[in-house]
Amino acid sequence: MSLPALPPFRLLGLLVVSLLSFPAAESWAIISLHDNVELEGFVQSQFVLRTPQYQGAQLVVQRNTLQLENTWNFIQDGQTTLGNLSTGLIEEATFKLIYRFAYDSTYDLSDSRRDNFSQGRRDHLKYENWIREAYLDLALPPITLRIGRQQVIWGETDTFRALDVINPLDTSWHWAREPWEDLRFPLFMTRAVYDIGKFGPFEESFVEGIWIPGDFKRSRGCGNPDRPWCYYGSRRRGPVNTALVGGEVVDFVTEVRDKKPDWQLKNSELGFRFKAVYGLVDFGLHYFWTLSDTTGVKVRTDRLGPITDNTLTVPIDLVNPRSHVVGVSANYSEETYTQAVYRVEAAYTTGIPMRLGTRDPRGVPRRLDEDNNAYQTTEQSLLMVAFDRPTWIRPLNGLRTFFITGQFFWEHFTDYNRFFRGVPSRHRAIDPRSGEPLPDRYLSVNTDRIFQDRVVATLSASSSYGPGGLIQPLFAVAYNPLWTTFFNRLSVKYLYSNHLVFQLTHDIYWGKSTEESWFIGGRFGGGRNNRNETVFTAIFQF
Amino acid sequence: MTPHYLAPQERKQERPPSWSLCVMLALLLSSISAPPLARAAENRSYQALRDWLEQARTATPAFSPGQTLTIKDRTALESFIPQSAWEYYFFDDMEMQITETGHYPPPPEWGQNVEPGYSLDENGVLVGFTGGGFPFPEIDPTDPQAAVKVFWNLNWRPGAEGYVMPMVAWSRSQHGQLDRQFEFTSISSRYAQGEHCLVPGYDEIKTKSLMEFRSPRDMAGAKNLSMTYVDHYQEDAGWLYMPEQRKPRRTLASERTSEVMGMDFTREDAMGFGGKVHEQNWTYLGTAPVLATMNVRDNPAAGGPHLWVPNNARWEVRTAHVLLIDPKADNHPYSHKLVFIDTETFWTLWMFAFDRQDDQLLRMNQHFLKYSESYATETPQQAPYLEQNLANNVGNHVLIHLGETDINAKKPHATYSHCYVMMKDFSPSRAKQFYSLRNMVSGRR
Repeated sequence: MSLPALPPFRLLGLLVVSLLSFPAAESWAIISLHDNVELEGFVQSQFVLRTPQYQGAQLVVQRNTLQLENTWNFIQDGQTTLGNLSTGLIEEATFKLIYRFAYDSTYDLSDSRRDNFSQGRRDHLKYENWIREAYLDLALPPITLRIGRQQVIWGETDTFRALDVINPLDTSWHWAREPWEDLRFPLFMTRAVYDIGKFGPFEESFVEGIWIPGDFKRSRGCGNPDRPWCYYGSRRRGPVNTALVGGEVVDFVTEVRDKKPDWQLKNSELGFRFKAVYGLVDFGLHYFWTLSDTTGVKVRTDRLGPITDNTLTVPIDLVNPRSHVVGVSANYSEETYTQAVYRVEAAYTTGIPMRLGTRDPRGVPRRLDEDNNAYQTTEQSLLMVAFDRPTWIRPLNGLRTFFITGQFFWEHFTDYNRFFRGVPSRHRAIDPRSGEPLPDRYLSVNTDRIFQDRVVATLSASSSYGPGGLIQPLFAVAYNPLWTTFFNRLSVKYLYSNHLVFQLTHDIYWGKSTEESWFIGGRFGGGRNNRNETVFTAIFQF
Repeated sequence: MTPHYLAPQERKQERPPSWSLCVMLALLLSSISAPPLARAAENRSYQALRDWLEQARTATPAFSPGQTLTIKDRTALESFIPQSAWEYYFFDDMEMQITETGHYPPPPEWGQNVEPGYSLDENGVLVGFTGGGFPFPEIDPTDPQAAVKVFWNLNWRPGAEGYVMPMVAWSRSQHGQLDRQFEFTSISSRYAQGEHCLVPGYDEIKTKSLMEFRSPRDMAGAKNLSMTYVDHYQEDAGWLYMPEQRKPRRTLASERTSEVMGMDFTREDAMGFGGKVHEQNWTYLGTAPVLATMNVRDNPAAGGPHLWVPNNARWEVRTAHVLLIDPKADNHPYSHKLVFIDTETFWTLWMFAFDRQDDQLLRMNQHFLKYSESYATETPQQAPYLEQNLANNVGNHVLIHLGETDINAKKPHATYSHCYVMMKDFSPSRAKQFYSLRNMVSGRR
């Protein structure tokens, strides 16, 4: 199932022409399969062209997605559609299913990928085919239950993780540059909401509890060099196979013991929150007892053997430690003076796995790495303050306001030490004697220093133009003041019809610091690793 | 699958042929900055409408019930269709079926539960009123506060809440070009019901409503929860749930003059006026006879060259209070707004708002209404996506909103909507559960 090797622009042209001439496009709407069964969804084709320094362009993603969403309302107002069955206390019941199939044709179209990967490896990378969400909603006032694979989102923050940590993220195929709804790994869980309503000084109050009975998934980052969005080293085709020990080049082998929590009751995750409106403030108190979806790497020096046959075998454990997340979130609508909604979120997280490392041959001091495994868990506080403001800028748009939203996000490690390290990268091995690169030899280097504080500010403005508001531009900027790096997004969406939507986006990364911590510039901004991109998306929705 | 509710001509005009994409794109882009199209045919200025009002005030119909009026009868109709609307409502194949002026009494218990002790303050704001009837059943034209009193009757009229209302809205450019078609459902309840509140303990709430979009897919599942308060000075509260974000977001209520969701109306224009009384200057302009789609047979089909106005609908002559509303804020987009409100039922019939820059018509709306008791003999259409027992409407003794047209004269563009209302009383426990933030914590749709 591979597309013919057409040049990308021809493929794009074919797609546009075929979508525009789709004969049934006028008449498609949500499809009613039965009285209470509906089907909707979309077909989307996305072209991501990387344009580093605006010199040439490379098609790095050509993702084609089919998403089908089925809704079955089988109990409404206490009446079932299944015949004369008693619904008991159940007033409403709905089953929802969301299926996604995706195919990235670059694994067939791109010479480098086609030539460098086996067919099996390409198939693994280019396809996605799964039921993302499948859950049953039951309303038994005052309790609402949702049982099944689902997403649960807490907090007030946009596109940064503080309290929105219940579902892990998949950023492997296009970093965090897609709607997070599409990036989250839905998990099997039970969510119960008990509606309280008015309660003392509180209004609109409810208590929510979630139980994830062992369906643990790790966040998937950009560490895989087979993916175009790998942090570093995506052009290195070989595995890490080399280590330098005492100035000698030796073969390097890892012996991985993956201690990923499996589906057992003891690996359950639990969360609770209380949400209410107090006066003019809408607030939430949150607690989540979880397993970190960031994977820690323990180097088991206690099991390290001698170098044999010029091979260093390093046992490592992949672990996801227990973690507590506690936090508050609130918003306040100030209608008189500033006419803005203010949002705030604060969270404290324990059990964050952290690598330890140094280039110093003496290594990490033992007092900071008591187990001598280049690993520790750490704790972090997060604070976000934000505003949303619909704003008239009449010279630019006399019909509709601009929705302007800004955020300031601050992360702080409370038990920081200077040996914290982030993402390792794959480097070509250099012969220590000759200084020449060693062919087909790669080693892992972790120079990614983690700093005690990370700060980022974001601002975005969006509006709509044209008589029907069919043209929807968006401007967004993220700025890291500690490293003077930027990310800009310029985007315009055109709603050609109820069913056809086109979107053109240009992402720009500014700044040259290689230690920038948010990947909004710096690492993705300079030199060969520049990630400036132009994205064209065509969507047929129904 | 062709939606059965679209007339054949609508289907044809729904999407232009693909070869015209480039031309349309160019037109759309140029329309962003292009000056408004000149409209020399009719005088749509504020002054022209005021002049028309003075002439029409004493007009007597030259037509009679049972007649079907066409473009040939334009002269007879001009005194009963406000002048600002002529350009849209008079067209070659127009048909207006004239019927007897009806009598649409409120529910028998209407007015019996009103708690006394309310009044208007110095800003014209109604203080201490909790519903159950019209606060000012009698309007004295010489009363300096007649205008706000009419508004408060509109604001507390029967039938304004207490329904399940699936809707379809067609957003159209000129010549019937369909830009977007929306499907959404609004469900609303009035909490303040005079001497008692729908949900005990929620006495400060006037109304709660929940609106959810069904299509197009990029908006499907978007929900808006809004609350208004008995205390008019207290700003409304609202939360918007966008499925892409999967969480509710607090919305700013005090910004009411931006177009909503790409449609052609603003929140302040809802039912003629949906804003705050104390932010406006109010003048009562007396009464005038106007034609209105008052007790239509069915959701009226869209007609006219642009499919912006009702055609082949049932009209009757109604006497309307005419209110002049002038925004106090200098940066408000309107210089003046005229609202025509039925003297018997206090429902809005027509609304005209004029551009602050040139006093020319900027927006207008006109409403299609049906009396609940006529559902005993005539059943309007069902929503294309939801079947309801519309016979439930009989016995409510209220007017029911079957739709409206909202025209932006400057763009020019219009949103024509059909509502398929079933009146519904919520139990206190059901209302408490349904109109809640908890109900905004949801999945994709």
